This record gives sequence, structure tokens and C-alpha cells, in this order.
Amino acid sequence: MERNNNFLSVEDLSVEYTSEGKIVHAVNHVSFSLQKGHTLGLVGETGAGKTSIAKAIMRILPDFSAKVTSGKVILDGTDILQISEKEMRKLRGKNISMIFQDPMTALNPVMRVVDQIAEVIREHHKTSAAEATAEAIRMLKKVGIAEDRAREYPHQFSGGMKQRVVIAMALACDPDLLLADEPTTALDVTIQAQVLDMINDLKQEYDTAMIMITHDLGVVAEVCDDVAVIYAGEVIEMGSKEDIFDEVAHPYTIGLFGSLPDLNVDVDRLSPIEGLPPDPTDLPHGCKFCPRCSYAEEACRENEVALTEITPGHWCRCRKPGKKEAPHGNNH
Amino acid sequence: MIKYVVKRILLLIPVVLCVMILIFTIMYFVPGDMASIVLGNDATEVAKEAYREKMGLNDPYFVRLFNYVKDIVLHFDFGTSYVHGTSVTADLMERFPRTLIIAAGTVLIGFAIGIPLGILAAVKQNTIVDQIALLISLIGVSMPGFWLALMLVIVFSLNLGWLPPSGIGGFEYYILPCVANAVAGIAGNVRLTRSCMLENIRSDYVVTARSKGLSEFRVLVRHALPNAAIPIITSMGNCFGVMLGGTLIIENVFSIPGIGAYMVKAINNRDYPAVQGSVIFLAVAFGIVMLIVDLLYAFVDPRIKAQYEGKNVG
Amino acid sequence: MRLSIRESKLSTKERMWGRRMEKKKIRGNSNGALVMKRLFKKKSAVAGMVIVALLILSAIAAPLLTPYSSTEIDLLNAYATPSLAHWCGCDDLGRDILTRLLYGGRYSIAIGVLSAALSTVLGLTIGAIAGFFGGRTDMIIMRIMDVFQAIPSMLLSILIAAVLGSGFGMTVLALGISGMSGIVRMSRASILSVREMEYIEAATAINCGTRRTIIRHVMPNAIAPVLVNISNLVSNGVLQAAGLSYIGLGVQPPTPEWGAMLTAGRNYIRSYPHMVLFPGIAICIFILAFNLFSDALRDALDPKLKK
Repeated sequence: MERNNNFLSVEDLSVEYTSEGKIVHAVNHVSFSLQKGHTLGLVGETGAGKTSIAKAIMRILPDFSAKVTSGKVILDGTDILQISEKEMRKLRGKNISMIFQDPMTALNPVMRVVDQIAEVIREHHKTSAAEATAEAIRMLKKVGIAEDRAREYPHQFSGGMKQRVVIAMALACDPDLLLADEPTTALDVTIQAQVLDMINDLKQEYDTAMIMITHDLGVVAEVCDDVAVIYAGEVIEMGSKEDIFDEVAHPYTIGLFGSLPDLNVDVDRLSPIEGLPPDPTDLPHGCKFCPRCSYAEEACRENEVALTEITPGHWCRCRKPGKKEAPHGNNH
Repeated sequence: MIKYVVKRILLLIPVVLCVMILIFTIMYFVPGDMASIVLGNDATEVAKEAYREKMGLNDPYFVRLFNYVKDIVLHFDFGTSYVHGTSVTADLMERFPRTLIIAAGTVLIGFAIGIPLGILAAVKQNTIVDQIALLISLIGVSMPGFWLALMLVIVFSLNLGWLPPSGIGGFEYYILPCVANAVAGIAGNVRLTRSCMLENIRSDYVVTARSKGLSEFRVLVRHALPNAAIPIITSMGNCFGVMLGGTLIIENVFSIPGIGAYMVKAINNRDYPAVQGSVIFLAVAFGIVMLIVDLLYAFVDPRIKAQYEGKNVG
Repeated sequence: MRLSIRESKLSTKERMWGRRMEKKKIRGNSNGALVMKRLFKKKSAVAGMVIVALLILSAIAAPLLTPYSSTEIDLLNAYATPSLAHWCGCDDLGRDILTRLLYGGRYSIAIGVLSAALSTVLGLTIGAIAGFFGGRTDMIIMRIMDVFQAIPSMLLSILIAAVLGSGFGMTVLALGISGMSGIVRMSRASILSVREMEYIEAATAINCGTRRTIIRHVMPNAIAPVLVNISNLVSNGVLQAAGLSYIGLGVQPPTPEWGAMLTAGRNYIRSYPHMVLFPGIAICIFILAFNLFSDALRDALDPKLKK
């Protein structure tokens, strides 16, 4: 990836939370970059720090408990972690916007949906109330919500419709960068595909760069150009979608694929990754994955493992990267 | 919505009736002979009997209950005071405005100061401002209102001579009673508003609002506050109840001839029609306030409104 | 629809309670040890508990702490202002006010605690019956509670006290009855929400008796929100008892109950304000300390509000 083409680049980002006197290392020295119009998938288990990365980029981490301890977020040449809050407010919602995980709670329950969308338009385009409302209704139509429902309240909408509203809100000001935080997780399976298609179409229509946060490799396959796999707040493997899907190198990523059902092969049981992600208040020494890794050696436990480029554009944080047989393979 | 308002008003009626029955029943079983109380123990048995007959005291319970409720409902007649022989209704109507001024003034002060202070405390959470606001409100809820009233009288009336210590008259006579009575309300509102705001400030839709690039002020006023207002409004009715209770005592401190002072005097004189009348009158006033609060509640929260309207359809 | 609107509003509130209960369960808050740990970690809670404990101890040990009698009249010292011999001065009959405050704690604190205990016993029992049996029983009980709640609590206390008469026992009874309805409602709502939960079904499935189900499974989960309410009832009881004394109901002089002392002093407010000042301060200190404790208790039971 050429650095100059990069529209967004995150460098050495770390985020910490304090909770009941303990420090939670949620994001540890994460770096990645994204080209204009591309989609990067951030993949990982719940609690891996994906949402914290997105919120750090938006600068909407809860300021009473969370702190960005290092790093830069360079958007179009500016480090947005350094600009004033006032300037940041101009970017939020206009240049960068976010789709939240849970549409049930992401909308203000006592405000009409059209007003919630019109609000962001008025904030950034300084239009009249009537114009903003008209634009909001146009956005709602775009996501498939009829005009006659625009003046209703969120509680009158189903989960899928609420998520459409959230999407309309996020795209209302034609952002350059869209952060989608598990946009389909809270929805019914049948609705998931619709919403995903819609995000994809709209993204293409607006030529928006997107970070798609998900734990679903199926979503990655459908939407993403590049993939970064996050584990315990670190990028452990990163590359193009093809790199990750065809040349998978890190034992954790291999494990992720192992826990997916393969419709082409008759499998007795899926092979989940043994164990649990490490406690973020007390991360293991050395490679963060080694307690769960069946290839771990003494050296893995002793030394930090660096992210190394194994083939051009394909990075992996493992001492012995490469394709391996699935360790607990029960394949026939 | 109008249909709902009407329905809600109609629903107040059985509650009011039950309150009347409850209070009448409680008072009915109070030991003691009315005739002896009114005429004195020295009165002849004939005179006492004549009095009982005249006042309908010999009738069975249900007849008396029916007559009492009927008089109130049909003629707005709370009976005649045993002690003064005056109409209880007239006495109450004369005194009610004064009680109302104090109660309303108290609630107004309580919300006008308590809510902004609570928002401030929530926004400046864990700073010195927050700590001071919390400490003051903690002290505020810990003080008996009438004791504070006496202290205020000592300072502002007896020592400084700025405000009258008791009685009724112009606006200035109501300042000390309202302030003394409002302190507990202010304190309660600070605590309530603070916790409601804190709960909402951290909710997802506030994060959404921030992610739109809105200013922090707008996020608070347009998003967090309307949601925090729902539990605040819910508590408004109870707050009014507490203030009304406080008013009853405060009136005695400042010798304000309101319903509270009237009722206390009636209790001490065993003037039961007057006691009954005062309690029912206040309970009805309280019921009406609760009704208004309920309607406000529906007005602010579309979910509740929808629930009500749904009920109307069903 | 036969459901009244009032009911529907209440059910919204009750559902809110239910939801909070569920959240608490997820976080494992019914764990008593954890709650105690949180409680003792908070300085204000410990301070509150220490002050309350000191006030209770000093009330019990009053004869050991003061050389004066709480009842003996000493006209030479009548209206004495605070001095080294009499820290809080003396009242109109020359009785040492500090001494009377120490003895008065016995009455005031006892009224608060006993009336709250009475409300709790009545409220939990009635609420549990309503919540668990439901149907007609529930309907009747809740309609009666509606009527109780339609009267402001101070007014209800005054009314009941007016009927029962004055004195220590009657005041406790009056406050106990008037504070009951909140607990009834709350415990019923909690019980309704836990009743729906699966483990009750499980308990029924393994053939636990109804009584056993209530005591072993429903009560522990319903208790958290009620605890907070009880602690409020104690402070409310002390305040209302003082109010009742002031209007001539409640505990009567010469009993050195704090409210009664305050009331006795009001006639001398112009010349001897210390007679009103100190009993009020005693009430304030007790309620303040108790509120510190109950706030911390609420936070410990619901950590979401704490941060």
C-alpha cells in the first residue's frame, strides 16, 4: 500500500480504560491504513477492541473513563487527535460518521426520526429547517422508509427500520469515511442481508471509504477490500481480502476460519478456538495469543512478536506464519 | 389525546370517592361522643340526645356515609363545623388560596433552582462543583422544613428585620414560608436531576448525538434533558405531595390561616367535620395535580402517549 | 379494555422496576458480600454508619455521658445560654439541653427505626401476597393502596395520628401505616418481575412449596430495591415525627424527643434561640448521617449510578 494514497492512516493507536481502579488495555499500538473508496474490515471477537478503535477515530470515547494513550489518526493529512474539539465537531457527522451496533438504543426515543436526521444536516450545512427536513425525508426514502413514516418516533419502528434510520443519519452529509460498528449484529438474519446490501450500495454510490467492524467473516467476504484481524487490542494479521482468505497465516485467523461451517465439506463438528480471549487488565507476556495457540513455543511466551510483512501487503504477527493444517481438524 | 384526558379525569372520580369513604370511615370509628365534645360534659342527656338527633349522629354508618358523600358530591357541602357552627366549605374556600400560593411557590422554587443545579452537577460530574451541589442538597433533604423556617425567622425577621415573621398580607409574607418549604424540594430535585442526567449522558443515543458533531450544549439540551425529564416529571407529583405536607406544618410556623392551620386547629378541637373536609379537600387537590403530571408525562414521552392512545382504540 | 389508564401507567413504572431488577441480576448484584464490599469501600458510607452508630450508642449510654438528669427541674439555670457547664444551654425549666438530646435520641431514633420496620413488615407481607397470588387478591389490595397513595404521606400521617392520638407508640403506628404503601407497591412489582423469571419455574418444577418458593427464591431478589426504600423510611419517619410533634400530635413534652423539644422551644425563639437551634441540629446530623449511608447503599446495590 502506497502511503500517499492513504486517505486514512491510524498509527500506533492505544486506548486505555480505567474501571474500578484497574487499567484495561483495550487497544494496543494499532496501525492500519485505508484508501479512498475502499473498505477495511476489522475482524475480531467481542471485546477485542474494535469498537474502541472506531470511537477513538471519532473521538467519542467516554471521557470519564477512557484515554487515548498514544498514536495518530491522520485523515487527509491532518492528525485529528491533535485538532481542537471545535474543529473535530465540524468533521464529526460530516466527514466521518458512524453506524452504531445497536439500533434499539442508538436513536433518541423522544425525538421524531426525521428530526434526528435533519439535525445533522442543519448542523453542517446551515440550511433552513424546512430544507433540512426535506433532505432528511429524501435520505429516508433512499434507505427505504416511506415519507409518511418519517414523522414517527423510534419506538414505532422495527429493529431493521431503526438501523436504516441510523444509516440514513450517518450518510446524510455524504461523509468521506464511514465507520460501521457491527451494523447487522443486532438484527434478524433475514434483515441482515438487506441492510448489508444497502450499506454496500450506498457506499458505492457516495464513494465513501468505510471501516466495517464485524466478527462475521461472511460480512467481510461480501463487503471488504482489506482486512485487519484484531486480537486483544492488537492487529495480528492484516492484508487484502484475498490474502486473508486464501493465504491465511496467523493461527488465530486460521482458528476463526476453523469455527466457520463449510458447506462444501461434510463436517461432524466445527472446531472452535479453545479457551477465552485474555483479560485486558492483565495481558499475557509475549504473544497475546500464545495461551490458546497450539503451535506456541517458549520463545512465543517470552518475547513480543512484531507485525512483519510476509508477502507484500500481507502482515502477520506470528513467529512462524504460514498455512498450517487446522490443529483440531475433524475434517473427513 | 382529548379522549384520553376525559377518560383520565373520569378515572379520578372513583379514587376521590374511595378517599372520601376511607376518611369518613376512619373518622367514624374515632372513640368519643360528639355531643359531649360540642356541648360539654355537663350538658344534660336530653340536650345531648337532641343534638345527636339533629346532626344525624344516631343514623347507622351507611346512612351517614351516604349522606356525607352525597352532600359533598351534589352540593359541594362538607358539613358544618362542630365548634364554630360555620360552613366547612366556606372556611376551606377562604383558606385554600393561601395554601395554594405556598404550595405552588414552593414547587416553582424547587424546580427552578433544583433542576438547573442538578444538570450542572451532572455535567461537572466529580468536580468540586458537583461535590458542593451534592453536599448542599444532602444537607437540604436532612433538615426538617419547619425547623429551617424557624431559623430563617430568627435571622431574617428577628435579627435583620427584612421580612415579616408571621401572618398574611402582601407578597413579602409568603417569601420565608415558600423558601423554607422549598429547600427540601430543591435538594431532592438536584439529586434526582443529576442521577437522571448521568444515566442519560452515557446512553447510546447521546453518543449518536455527539457523533453528529453537535455541540455539547445541544447534546445536553436537545437529547439528554428531554429523556431525563421523564423520570423528573414522574417524581413531580410526589414532590408536590411532600411539599403539600410541608405546607401544612409551615402554615402553623408562620401563623398563616391556610388549610393546614385550619386542620390542625380542628384536630385539636376534635372538630371532625372540619378535619374530614380538610383532608378530603387536600386529597382531591393532590389528585388533580397528579392528573396534570400524568398528562405532562404523556406529552413528553411519545411511547407513553402511544400506549394511552392505543388503549383508547382498544 | 377493562384495564384502567392508571393501571397502565403503573405497569410502565413497574416494568421499569422489573427491568432494573433484571439488569441487577445480570451483574450479579444480589450478591450480599459484594454489596458489603462496595459499601465499606466508600468513605461517606463509613462516615455515615459511624455517626449513626455513635448517636445510637450515646443515646443508650446517655446516663454515663452526662452528669445531669433529663427530667430534673433546676430553675436557677432556666434559659441558660450555652456555656462550659451546659454545652447546649438549658431549657425553660433549667434542664440541660445536651442531656435531653442524648436521652431524646432514644425516642427519635427508635421512632424512625420502629416505624420503618413496621412499614416494612406490613408492606412486604401485603405486597408479597398481592404479587404472588395475583388475580382478585392483587386487584383489591392494589386499589386500596391507590387510595392510600392518593393522600400525601404527611397528610396521611397527620390523619392517622389524629385518630390514634398522640404518644410514642401511636406515632410509630401512624408513621408505620402511612409509609407502608410504597413498599407494598415496590415489593409487588419486584415479585411480579421475578415471578416471570425462569428459575421460579424451575423451583416450581422441582416441586418446591409455594411458601418455600417465596422465602427462598422470590424474597432475596425482591429485597434490593426495597432496602433503599426502607432506609428512606427511617429518615422520613424521624422528620415526620418531628413535624407531628410540632403540630401537637406525635410525642408530647416533657418526653425529650427531638421534635418535641424543638416544639417546646419555639415560644422562646425571640430571646433564647438555642432552645430551638440544638434539637434541630441533632435531627439534621442524624438524618444527614443516615442519608449518607442510604445513598451509599443505593449505589452499592446499583453500581450503574455510582460512576
